[in-house]
Amino acid sequence: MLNDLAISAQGLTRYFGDRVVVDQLDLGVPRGSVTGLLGLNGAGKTTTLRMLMGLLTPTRGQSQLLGKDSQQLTAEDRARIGYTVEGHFLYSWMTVRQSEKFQRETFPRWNNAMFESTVRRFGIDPGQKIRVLSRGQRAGVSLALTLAAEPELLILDDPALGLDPVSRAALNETLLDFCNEGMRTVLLSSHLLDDIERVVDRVLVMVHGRLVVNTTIDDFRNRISSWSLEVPPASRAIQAIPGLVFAKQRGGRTIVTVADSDAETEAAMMRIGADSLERLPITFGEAVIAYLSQSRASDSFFANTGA
Amino acid sequence: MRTLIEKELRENLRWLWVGLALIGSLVWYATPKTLVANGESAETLIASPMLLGASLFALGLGVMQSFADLRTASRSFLFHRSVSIGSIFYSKLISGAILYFAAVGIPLCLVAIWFAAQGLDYLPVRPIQVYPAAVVALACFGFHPAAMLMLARSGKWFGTKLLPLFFVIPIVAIGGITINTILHGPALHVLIVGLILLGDLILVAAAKHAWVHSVADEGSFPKQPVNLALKLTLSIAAVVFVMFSFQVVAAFGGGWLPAETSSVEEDYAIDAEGNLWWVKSKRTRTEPWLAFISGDRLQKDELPDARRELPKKLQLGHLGKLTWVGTAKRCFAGEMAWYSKDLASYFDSRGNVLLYDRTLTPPLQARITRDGAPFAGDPRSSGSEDMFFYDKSGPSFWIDPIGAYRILSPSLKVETLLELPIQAKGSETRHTSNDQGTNKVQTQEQITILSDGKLHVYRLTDKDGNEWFPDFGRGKSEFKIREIAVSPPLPPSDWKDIRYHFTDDSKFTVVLTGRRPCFLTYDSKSDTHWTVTSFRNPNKKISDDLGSLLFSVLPLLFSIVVAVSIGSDLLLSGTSLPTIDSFKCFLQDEYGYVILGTVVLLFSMIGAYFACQRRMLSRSETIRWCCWTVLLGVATPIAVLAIYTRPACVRCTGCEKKRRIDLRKCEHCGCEWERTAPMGIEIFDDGFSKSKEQQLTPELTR
Amino acid sequence: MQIHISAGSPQSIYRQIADQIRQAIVSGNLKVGDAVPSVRQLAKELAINPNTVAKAYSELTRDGILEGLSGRGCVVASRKNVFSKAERVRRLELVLDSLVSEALTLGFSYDEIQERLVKRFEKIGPE
Repeated sequence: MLNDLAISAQGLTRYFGDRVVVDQLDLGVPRGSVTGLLGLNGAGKTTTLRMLMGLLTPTRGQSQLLGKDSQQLTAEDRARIGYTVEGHFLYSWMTVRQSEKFQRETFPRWNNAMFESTVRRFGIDPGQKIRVLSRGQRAGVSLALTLAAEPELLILDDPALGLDPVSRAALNETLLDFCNEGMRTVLLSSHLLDDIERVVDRVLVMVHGRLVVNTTIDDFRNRISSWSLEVPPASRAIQAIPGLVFAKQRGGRTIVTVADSDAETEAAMMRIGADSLERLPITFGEAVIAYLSQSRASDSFFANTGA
Repeated sequence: MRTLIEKELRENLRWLWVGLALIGSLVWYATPKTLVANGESAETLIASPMLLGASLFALGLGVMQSFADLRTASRSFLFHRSVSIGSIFYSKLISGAILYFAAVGIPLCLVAIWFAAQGLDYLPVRPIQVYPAAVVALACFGFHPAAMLMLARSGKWFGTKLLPLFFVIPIVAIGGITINTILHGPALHVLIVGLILLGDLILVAAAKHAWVHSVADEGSFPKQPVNLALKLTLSIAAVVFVMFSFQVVAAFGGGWLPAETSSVEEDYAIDAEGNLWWVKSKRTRTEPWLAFISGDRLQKDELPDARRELPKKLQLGHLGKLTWVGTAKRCFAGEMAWYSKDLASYFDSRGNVLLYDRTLTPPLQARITRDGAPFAGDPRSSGSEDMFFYDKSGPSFWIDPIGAYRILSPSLKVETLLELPIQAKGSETRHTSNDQGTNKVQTQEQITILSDGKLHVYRLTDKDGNEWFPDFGRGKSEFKIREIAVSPPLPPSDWKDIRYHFTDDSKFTVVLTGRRPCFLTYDSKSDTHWTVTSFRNPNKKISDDLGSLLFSVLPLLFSIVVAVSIGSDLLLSGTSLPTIDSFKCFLQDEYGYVILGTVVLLFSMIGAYFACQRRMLSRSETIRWCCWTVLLGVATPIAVLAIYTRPACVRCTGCEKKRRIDLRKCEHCGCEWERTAPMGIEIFDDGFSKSKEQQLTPELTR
Repeated sequence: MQIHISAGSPQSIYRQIADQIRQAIVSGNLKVGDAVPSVRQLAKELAINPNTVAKAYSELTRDGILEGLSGRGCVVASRKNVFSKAERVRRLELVLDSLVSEALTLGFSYDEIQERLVKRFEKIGPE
């Protein structure tokens, strides 16, 4: 079972000071999947990815990449794992060619065609200094360097951050090209829900350092439903709906997003606003936003009780 | 690895120019270009700025190389690739070493070449004189791994983060020994370089460990692993830090000590009649000269009691001491024999004395030889005792193991006074009150020589045979030497630890404190000439309040290092730290410094215990550290706080006590971490599913 | 045949693909035996995850609309009933149920519904 998982974690926990940032994460990402990691800023995405990469020691718990303990990855293990840093860090004093040479000589495998095609796709002149590249071009170089090393597992920390639409499209195409060849696993964090919907087949959602969603994108869509009720806003009864993810006000109505809606859920909603109960279509983006808004709302809830 | 080294060199090449400019200008500024007026040797002049420049450069380079690549993004970019973190560390170290030794080596080589090009006619320097600076530079490189260790460890800048740097201080001090021992044999230098490399090796092992387990983010973190090298480095650094603090305190005059803090010595003294006394003399912090406080006259076969009150109006004086004359194995151009305002003399490599006059060009005036042969004296035992140049026109003496000579001026010819095997020599300045009732005190130089059990005494006389008192600036052109030769009735094998005193020309006292302590009195007017009195050697009871106080407070490790150190005087000369004599005082002291030491040790142990508690160490580790306190003393709590990090704690849901966040089970009540209750909105499809029906199972999974 | 998909729509991407292929077959744009683009080709064209395309194709194959999955690609299958009579009736009842209830909720009369159904049938139904 564990061998089918490219990424796994058991009780992975990380504190900064006495503040918990990643809270007892149990995680399994099957091999060959493209998984999107979603969450608000500060939900613990980057911390989780860094712990998985063995770049940060967990406070408790453990994780494995390709069956190897994250904290004891050898150079050979790392050769099979690609990683791009948030913000696409590169040595700005190098040229693109020098970066390529540096990368080529610190990884055992090198797919030159992959590098050249990716760089071309982003419209980069390899003789340029990294310093003068645009953000999108930097992302292109970073991606080209990582993919040309032919990793089995690719972990991308918010690769689309701050990219223009053209670079975003190039990024998606590059990723999909990469996945088209062999059993390759990709885990990427992002805030661009439309891109995620196109590219991934699995989603992870983190809220306050906890994992609340880990499933296929279709399963996620099927199990999330949205309903419209004609009830006064902020009714206590709404908070009691089982599986309530988020409730918001639209005009005079309340839009309710629930997970795993069943007879009990519907009965609860009927009791509140039976006459007006109406099921609404819901997009992937709306479903994710419901989760993320829920966490933000609970933030303000905590803030209120604290005050 | 090659790629990584290339990357480091490319990134940090600019610092090479900074280093070359810094070290080059410092060293060149310090390099003697003409004869030095204050008589400092070229090796001292170069080594000191090298110490400063090289330390700063190594430290800066280490910080620069670490700082850039320990920031989160940069670190992730570098560390995630298919190379071990160890090789990343070593490539930084190696490229740092390449840049460092280039910045240090190029100026030193240039100075050495410049020295070689000077020629002895202009400047008494040889290329080998850059050697101590090179060893110091080697030792200073320790600041590079120390800086890398410093930056890779978490800790507060005003806490223990700077501590690793203190580890380098003794390494540099060991390197500094070479400045004064350039003429010693290779064994000492191999030992010195070996110790430096050993220190650097420990430091590198600790720094590598810290890098492999580096913490990129600040803030308290529970599981920063430690290895032996790291423990060793930080423990020794803590001891050095304590020493350094004492040094700083002492450097500020020890003003915190009471004014009567004293050091007491016991020694022989002699009165105006030539009687021998065993006296106690004391110097205090506010009156730092020796004053006789009590004593007892030495009687035949009696043990003197130094605590007895001295008679009023007793005039006591110190005895002279004979030192042994050594034979030179190799002489050295830079070893200075003597200097004055305009004149300076040096030994050349063959043992000739080179006489320089700063006012002339070229300054080399003469190579003085003993009838064409070099002198046999050992420049290491030389000093002002050997030669007396009052000024250009004055007379001078030169003593080596095969004779005593007088160098005539202005001809600079050598006149042989004695051709005798000379074992020991002593010189003293006699202060004589003028008979005419004026208060003018005249000084007279006198040389005493031991040769085959016979004492020879030389004094300067003028041409009429009257005793001559040198008068600066109004030198007379010709002088004679009056010899007084006396042969004490003892076999030469008994001549050990010779103290002597002339009461006047006819009376003479020699004290032998060796195997058979006795004193001999010579009186030319008596028939027998010599009387020999044996006595019981008094136990030398000395005390040094400051030294004892420091030894009772300082870590035992330091005391042991001082005790076994081959050159504790070399190592600690110029510092305010106590040396081996103070350590003896500490052990002998009657004022309870040993008790004070024990109390300090107890407090250190309590401190260490609380430090261990603070760092939440296990019981066995706490006991181990309390044991180490015996060796590390007051430094132990600092070491513990520096080595370990404090884990953060949160309230346990089981027992309400604060529990460590890094342990799976609560250390108080043993309960595991409670899983936060699911919110009912979780969507999972895999083996870790926690859907609605599993909400009640956390107890079952325990 | 051109397939357009949009992310951020209430319909999931795989459903958009499957519906558009069904539509094309019903409207005659795709005929029996016509090849549909391979999974990889379509995924690349649309810049979407190939698993999504594969999922749409596998649903269509399961429903007997496409055949010959994997390898050489898929072609439009000849119309055959993969479901039993009873199952077909059940599925139709389900669609009718929701159609009728939705239409009544919207306030249409029986005649209006029938009229529009016939029109619709004439437009997209088989000749």
